[in-house]
Amino acid sequence: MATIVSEGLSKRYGSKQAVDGLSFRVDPGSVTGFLGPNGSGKSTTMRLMLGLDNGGGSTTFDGQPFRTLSDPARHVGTVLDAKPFHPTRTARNHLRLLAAPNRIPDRRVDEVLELVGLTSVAKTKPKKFSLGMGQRLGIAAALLGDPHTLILDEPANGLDPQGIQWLRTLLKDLAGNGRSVFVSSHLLAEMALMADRLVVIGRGRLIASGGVDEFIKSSRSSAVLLRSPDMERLGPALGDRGAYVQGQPDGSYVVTRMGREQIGDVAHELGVRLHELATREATLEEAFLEATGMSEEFIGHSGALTGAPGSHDEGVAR
Amino acid sequence: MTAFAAALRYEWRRLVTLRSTYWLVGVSVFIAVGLATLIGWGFASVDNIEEGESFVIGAIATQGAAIGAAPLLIAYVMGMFGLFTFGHEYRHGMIRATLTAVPNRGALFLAKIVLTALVTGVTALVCTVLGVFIGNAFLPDIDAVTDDVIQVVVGVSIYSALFALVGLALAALLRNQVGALVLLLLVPLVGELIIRLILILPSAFDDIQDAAGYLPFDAGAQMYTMLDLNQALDIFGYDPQGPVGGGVTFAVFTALMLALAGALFSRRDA
Repeated sequence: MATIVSEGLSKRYGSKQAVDGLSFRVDPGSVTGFLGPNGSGKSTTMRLMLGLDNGGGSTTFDGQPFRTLSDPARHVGTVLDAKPFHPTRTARNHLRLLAAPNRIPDRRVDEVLELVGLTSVAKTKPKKFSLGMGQRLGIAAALLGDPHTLILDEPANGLDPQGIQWLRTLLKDLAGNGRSVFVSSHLLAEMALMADRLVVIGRGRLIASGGVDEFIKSSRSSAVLLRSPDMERLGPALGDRGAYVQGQPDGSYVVTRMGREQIGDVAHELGVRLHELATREATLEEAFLEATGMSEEFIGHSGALTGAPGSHDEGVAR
Repeated sequence: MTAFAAALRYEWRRLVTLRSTYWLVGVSVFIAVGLATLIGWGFASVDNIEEGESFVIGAIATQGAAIGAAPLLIAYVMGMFGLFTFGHEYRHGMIRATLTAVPNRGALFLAKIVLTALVTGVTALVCTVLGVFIGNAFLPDIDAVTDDVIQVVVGVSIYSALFALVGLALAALLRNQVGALVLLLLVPLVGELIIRLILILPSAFDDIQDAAGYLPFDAGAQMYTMLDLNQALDIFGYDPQGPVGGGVTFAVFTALMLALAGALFSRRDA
């Protein structure tokens, strides 16, 4: 078991409500992606979960708040800041330091150094580390206690493509072994490959949570791919009926705001030929932009943070 | 208790894996041995020192501080040690990593206090005892182990440990190493001197001039002051506190600083 339950997380900085009544759940056996635009409260949420920031709400790890865990590194591993180490303490000593209170032996320190590929610089002072090496050291620290839960804030930051691929495999393996992995990233393509489930927030509020596939399917950005030799007649007709038609370089057209069936009916009505008519699913990026765009639109219109939770569901498709 | 033990393990390993720990302890010993040797050699070349003038031993062991000839250098070096205990956490963004490894903030704060006091107190003790040995080597005719000298040795150790804890509290309060360092140097070396001067000069403040005895760093310094330079202040009718009263004043001040720092530390965002 490694269930994370967050309820009603809230944090206010002065007049800005950074996190606003956020509740979600992360189940073991999956990589759960944590998405939101810049400044939407992802990092603050993670700090709230770990009791680093003081705010409203609660988070439990198998029923226990983080602050009350004994040997916390054996339960929850974290990556929070990009370079959280003293510049003159060697990489190995940095890990031994974090291991000490959690009664983790030096043998395990050497194991995780090997795992993240830093064995050759174990005795090096990390002030000379690149961002990617620093990130690997942070990941090593998170894995020290072989925890059942990982909370990672932008762990792919600064990693090269090989590093990102390595991290993806690692996290998927860890989740596959029944661990909970809660990971934020702004790399949506990467998240699409890695995450099984998503928690999406905007302006500190929950926008969506659930499986990645459902999230994408629910997107209104899904479009229809159209190919027709009679576009000079079909195009304007579709436009007149409210569809948005965009020509593609390869001679095909992408139609939004109108379903496949309706387009077929219009073509039949006009008696034009269709060479291709197919639904094109939205990408995670499109679904994300749509979902978070609505949240910004909603906030912008209401002017204040007074709207009822869930009102974003009524947002207008673009 | 297990949380406190975990915090102690963290804090101890933090100290032993840090270069500055060795630097600061090394500098203290270097200052103690080097300056004590220089001062002892100077006294030894003067032939009119009489038996029983054990203040000379105190002066050598404290590099002049016991006779008011210099600030207590070891205390300032140990003050840096205390300051780094929290300063490094904020300067290098370690604090979040620290608090995920040791989430119990009360236990962490207490562990930092205990180890800082122990290491700085013992370092100052060793340095001062070394100074007494050096003084004795240069001036074998003077009785080196008198009640006065023992008071100096104990006083320097306690003062240095308390001074380090004030540094710790300042760094925790300000979360800024440089700002804390400036305060830790300026308040005892400049600030208190000016306030004391204003208070004890014949003036409108005569009624409250005894308040000068409660200036915390100056009061604490009475713990290791031997030759009463304060006698010179008698002409102003000012009578400072003795070593015990002064020590208690400084200890209470330190405790208040720590309490304030601890309260903020447990409530603030990391």
